[in-house]
Amino acid sequence: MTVLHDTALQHGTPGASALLRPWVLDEHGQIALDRSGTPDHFAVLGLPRRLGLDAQHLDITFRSLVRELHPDRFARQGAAAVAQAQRHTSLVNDAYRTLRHFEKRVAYVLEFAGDLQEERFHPPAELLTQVFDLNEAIEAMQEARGEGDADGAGRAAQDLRHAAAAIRDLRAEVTAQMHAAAARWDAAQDAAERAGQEVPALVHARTELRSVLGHARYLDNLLTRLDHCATL
Amino acid sequence: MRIHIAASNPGPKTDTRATVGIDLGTTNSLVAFVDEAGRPQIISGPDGPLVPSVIAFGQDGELDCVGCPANARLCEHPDRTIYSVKRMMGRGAEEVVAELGMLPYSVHRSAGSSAVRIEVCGRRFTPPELSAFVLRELKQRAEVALGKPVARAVITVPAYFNDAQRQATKDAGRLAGLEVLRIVNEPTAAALAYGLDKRPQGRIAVYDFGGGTFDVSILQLHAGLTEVLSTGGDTHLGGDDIDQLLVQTMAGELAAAGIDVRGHLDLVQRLRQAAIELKIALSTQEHATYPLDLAPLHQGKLDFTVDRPTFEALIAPIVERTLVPCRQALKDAGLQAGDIDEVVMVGGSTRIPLVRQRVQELFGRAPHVEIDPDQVVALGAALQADIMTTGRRDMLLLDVTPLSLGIETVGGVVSKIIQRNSAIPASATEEFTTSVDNQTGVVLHVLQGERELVTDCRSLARLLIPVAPMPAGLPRVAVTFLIDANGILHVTGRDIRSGTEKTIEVKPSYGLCDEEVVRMLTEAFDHAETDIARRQFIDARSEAQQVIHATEVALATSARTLIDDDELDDIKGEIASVHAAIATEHAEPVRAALARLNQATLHLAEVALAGALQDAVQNPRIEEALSHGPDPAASKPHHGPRLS
Repeated sequence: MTVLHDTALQHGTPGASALLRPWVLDEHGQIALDRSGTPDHFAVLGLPRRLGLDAQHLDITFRSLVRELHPDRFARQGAAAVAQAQRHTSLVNDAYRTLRHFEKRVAYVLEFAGDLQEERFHPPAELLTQVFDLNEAIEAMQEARGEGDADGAGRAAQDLRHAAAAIRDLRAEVTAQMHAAAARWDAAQDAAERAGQEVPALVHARTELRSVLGHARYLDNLLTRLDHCATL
Repeated sequence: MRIHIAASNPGPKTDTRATVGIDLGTTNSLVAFVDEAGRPQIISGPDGPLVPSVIAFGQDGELDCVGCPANARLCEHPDRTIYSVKRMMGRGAEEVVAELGMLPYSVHRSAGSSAVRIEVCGRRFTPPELSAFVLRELKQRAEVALGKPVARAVITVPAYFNDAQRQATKDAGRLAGLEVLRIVNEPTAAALAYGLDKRPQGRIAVYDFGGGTFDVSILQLHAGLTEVLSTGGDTHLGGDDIDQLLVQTMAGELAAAGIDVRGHLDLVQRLRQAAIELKIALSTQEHATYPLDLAPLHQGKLDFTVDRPTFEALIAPIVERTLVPCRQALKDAGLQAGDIDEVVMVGGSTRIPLVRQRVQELFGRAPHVEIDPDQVVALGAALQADIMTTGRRDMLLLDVTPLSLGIETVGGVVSKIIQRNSAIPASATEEFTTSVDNQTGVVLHVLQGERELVTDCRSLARLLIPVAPMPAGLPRVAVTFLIDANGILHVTGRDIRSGTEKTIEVKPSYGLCDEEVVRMLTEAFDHAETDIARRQFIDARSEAQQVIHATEVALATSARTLIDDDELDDIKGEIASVHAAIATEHAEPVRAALARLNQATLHLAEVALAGALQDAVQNPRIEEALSHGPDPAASKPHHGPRLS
């Protein structure tokens, strides 16, 4: 079975689906998976393995591939052709679904490199203070509501909104950090492809991405909890 | 009727067999095809384009009739007239009882399969078998209209149907002798029909409120490519619920007046009929009245009157429930209501003014109602059939799966492997190993749904993944789950060490396994000859009943005074012969007697027409003039005695 690594050299010609088969399917005509069973989404779409993807270019590539490979195009050619088209189109769909969102793309690149460990994120001290304030505001609100204190609940809700706004600002900052880290990963990937092997900068860039992604997920969980409180 | 076993010779282009699009509805079904000019057309029968999804059985448990004639039996023989089969598809017995409430027939769970069985006069049927009766009716209708055999079909399902419900629909197609080219989502089919004439680019919301289900889909069109962005819905919400609510209200009022209809199946059916008529009338009128016949519980007719504000207040909660999936679908597509360029209305329930008003308020624009909401889905299905069989259209549908697919993990928790709203075909590969030495298989429980716990999701199947016996943890099996373009799951396992690949049988939790379908197909084939004869008799009988009815209507008008007693006796004699011929249960005597009756009524038809024309000069409503009969159905012109 062909194993495609994150450092494997792939110079994709965008939209050139004629090249799809040798990349995606191994010598038995089977789907090539990496060691964790993940298909190579970049290779499927014929795109270079970079996080800085042009969204419009991705959309156009996806649509042209799907128009060509969709099983409905093969309905007159019998069950085997349809089954093959199902497999190919599912790969294109799966690749597009994962790569079209920047943060899913980051997570996928790490997962493909076997580098997405469930590592506990350690929030910095100032964030912990904010989370502490947040918890207090939530408790105050619940308490005030429990006692039927409309004014108190209103004030607590106000505090909660301020705290949430601060978390959202922080989340936006983390997104910006992730973009910067992604650009560094792309540059390291360029270097690795030139060198034909993994370079230290790439390992470093992955570590950085993993840490930023962990931060982002921590904040998302917080925001989900806040949204939940807001609907109560 | 001929049973066509699925394409043994799938020859392209030179095919003389037709392909149709079928909307298999909860209440009504339709069949459509694409004509030579490339336009989709509905195929109408003598009773119009709709075939009520109702199946009537005789006392012996043999099929009696399907569609309009079966609908007419609902009140007469509620215990052997089946409706709303779609609500039973892919469900377990307990669910069917919960879903449909009090049923006039018994529901069973048969040994060896959890699929529900409906008992009618001592015979048991699965929902796919019952749906197959409706599909055969549609197939037959198309074969008569197109003058050639129909072998293949695209059949639509609610977008929110799960794997079991889709599989059940596909099985029904096979049992009806149809090769099911594709299962297409109803809102997507509707968008295809609209997209044909509308803008090539843009975002569309399809609001599909049918008889038994509610669906909403958000789609993006790009020059021939129809991409579904998100879909949502409720498979337990439809026009039926509105009828049910009205029936309950009416039954409550009757109970207050000392009339208890509970336990009177025929009266409950009459109430249901009244509720439907009132609902339909209130879409165009401010008040509606229905004279309800409650014999034998009550002498004379009771007038039920409902005004629109009362009706709207009653149904408002149901309409509000449809808006919840709409907001969710927008959110899932990452869009605001204002981003939608067009809103398309599908399904009979969208004729209700309150529904249109609330949808307009939500999306901030007037919805499209140009194409008949009852027909648009079948037209789209025919287009999809044309896309797949002719290759003459540069159009493509890219749909999504409505529900997430997951597998059971430790502690009864569901691990999602394909998220809902993923474009299909979609796949996911997971690797598994063993926990015990020399274990020969891994059992996987596959589920569908959005909740975290196994008990809250829908069990699809249990899979047995074969593993070569080895010390625990050594085997490595990659299992690929593929949801195909029909939204149906396929599973393949691959031994990573040996590279051998194997298709894994999906044993459905609710539904028929392949052997059962094959057995039913064989049975249907065995019965094919008797089915044809039965079918011809049923057709002849319906035609005869229509002519007799029309003749009796004509005799009740002033035309009666224009014919002499001899002629009247002649006609009555021929009517009696037709009745006698029907009693033989064979088509030929009925056709012969019917021909004589038609001959005997030629003069009556002439004078009835002349009288009607004369009346029409004074009263322009010719249809009304033609029928002074008591039956409102008689006002349809095609029910008149051979007037032309």
